[in-house]
Amino acid sequence: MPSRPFTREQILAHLREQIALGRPIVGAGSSSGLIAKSAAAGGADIIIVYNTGRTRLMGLATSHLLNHANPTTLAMYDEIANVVTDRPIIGGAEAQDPYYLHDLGRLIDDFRRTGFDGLINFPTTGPDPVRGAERASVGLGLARDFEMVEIARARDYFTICYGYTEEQTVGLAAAGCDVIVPHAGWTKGGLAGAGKSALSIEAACEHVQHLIELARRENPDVICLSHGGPLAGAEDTPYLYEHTDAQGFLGASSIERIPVEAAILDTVRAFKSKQLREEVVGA
Amino acid sequence: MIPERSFTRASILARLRATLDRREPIVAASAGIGIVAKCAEIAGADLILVLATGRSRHLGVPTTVNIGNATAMTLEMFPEVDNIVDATPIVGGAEATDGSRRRLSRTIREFRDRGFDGIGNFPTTGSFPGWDQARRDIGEGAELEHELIRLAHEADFFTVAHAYVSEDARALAAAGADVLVARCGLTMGGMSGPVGVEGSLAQGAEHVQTLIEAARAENPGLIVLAHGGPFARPDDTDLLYAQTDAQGILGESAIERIPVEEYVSGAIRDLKAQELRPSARLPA
Repeated sequence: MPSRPFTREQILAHLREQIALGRPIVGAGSSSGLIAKSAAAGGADIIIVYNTGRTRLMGLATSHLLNHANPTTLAMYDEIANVVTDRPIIGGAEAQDPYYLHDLGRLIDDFRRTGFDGLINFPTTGPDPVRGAERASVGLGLARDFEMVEIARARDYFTICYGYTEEQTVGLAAAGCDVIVPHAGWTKGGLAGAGKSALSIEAACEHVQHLIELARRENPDVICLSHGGPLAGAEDTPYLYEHTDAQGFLGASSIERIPVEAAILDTVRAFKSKQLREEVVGA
Repeated sequence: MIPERSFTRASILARLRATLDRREPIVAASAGIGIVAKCAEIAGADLILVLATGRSRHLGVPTTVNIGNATAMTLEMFPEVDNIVDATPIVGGAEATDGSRRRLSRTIREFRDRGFDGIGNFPTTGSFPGWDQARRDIGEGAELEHELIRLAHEADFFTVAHAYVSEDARALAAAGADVLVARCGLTMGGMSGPVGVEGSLAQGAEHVQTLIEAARAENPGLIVLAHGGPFARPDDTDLLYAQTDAQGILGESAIERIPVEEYVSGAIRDLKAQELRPSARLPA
């Protein structure tokens, strides 16, 4: 891949090349320079910055509510761009942010001007239909996601979109998103994963395949990935690629939480497992 | 209910002695972010250190002490670590030679009031030897670090002192340090470690033992840990514990940088090394 910044066409060309080779696209949620740099070194195709990453790195269960999403994500850019030179960096943009009440074009401008190579609709009201309906009643619902993607597409700005439901997936595909990511829920596993709400892998993959088919009906060219729930790491994705038409995987907890937890746990335990000589123990 | 941490100097020392009585090494983990501190505690770390350099490690750049006012950064980093650590002492690093904080007793009070369970002289001028010499000439060099440890000791506040050379190891021990970290310099390895710098485990062990002997001449009961240089992996400590009197290790890059680099890049490699089914592929 060439160097940043990337145009929408350059990103799509790279993704399509990977898919033609049969290699899954891997997007890596990265909220610190150290994570982004390591993900790029491992071969991630796309680096993604989410406001929720901050909570993961704090050691908490993922939450999008502990900070104001758009300003937080925009402020995280410099640290990531400092260490990532040859992968697209995509930012999570919250279309329902009331600070952009009448002008989603300005939101896109803010991401583009900051340096992001594209955006992803996150956070979004998608995962919470009751809340989503309430917000829609004040003009800040799912339609804002669709509008944001339409404007981005008209401006030739690269977009990835999470589709939680049929309605959201169809709307986003129709709006012209470049990549759709059927979302299978909060990621399971590790020290702060989803609880009983998580789907089984069979149910998650059925959900993913169903949403892929709906999205493709709107736009046969849309690239389809997957995310979340029981799809938490490289042990889970072989089942995904066997049973669905998913062309890759977006990881957030799967990249910057669970492996980091394991890294620290394994290392500190290994340092602790040594034995001191009797004579150095002292009185 | 989430418990409050409550440690005194005496209870921390009793805890460390109990670790040693089990012939376990004392493991101190530098934690620049909450997830590191949380996992270090779960894995049994004896101490958690908040050091300004942690910031640079998480930025993905080579460990650097001067990317901000170190003491202010450390105080700012504390709440995130404090929030997630329930039963392990948290010790902060204060830059004693910071001319904008001349009243060291006040700095110690500030750390204690903030909620730290102890304090240490970090960053230290030991990593800027040329600068240190020039500052010593005007009374603003390493002697201020010795003074910080002396004042904290007088205030019965737990101290982890950091030394690169025997002279400082001796002075910090004399000042009443509870734990001394014998420092060997930048940790080797990983994506941001030193390049073109040689340093064998044997040389590292010799350096550590020299510092230990200097410090123990002042205070035979001092607890001594090693840090950095060639001691980057758990198995590197086999030689450390065989050939020196070190009683444990402080892991900075060894805990919160190199393992994160390896596990995250490994997770991506494993995810990429898979194949899409034919119906998912695009025509070449």
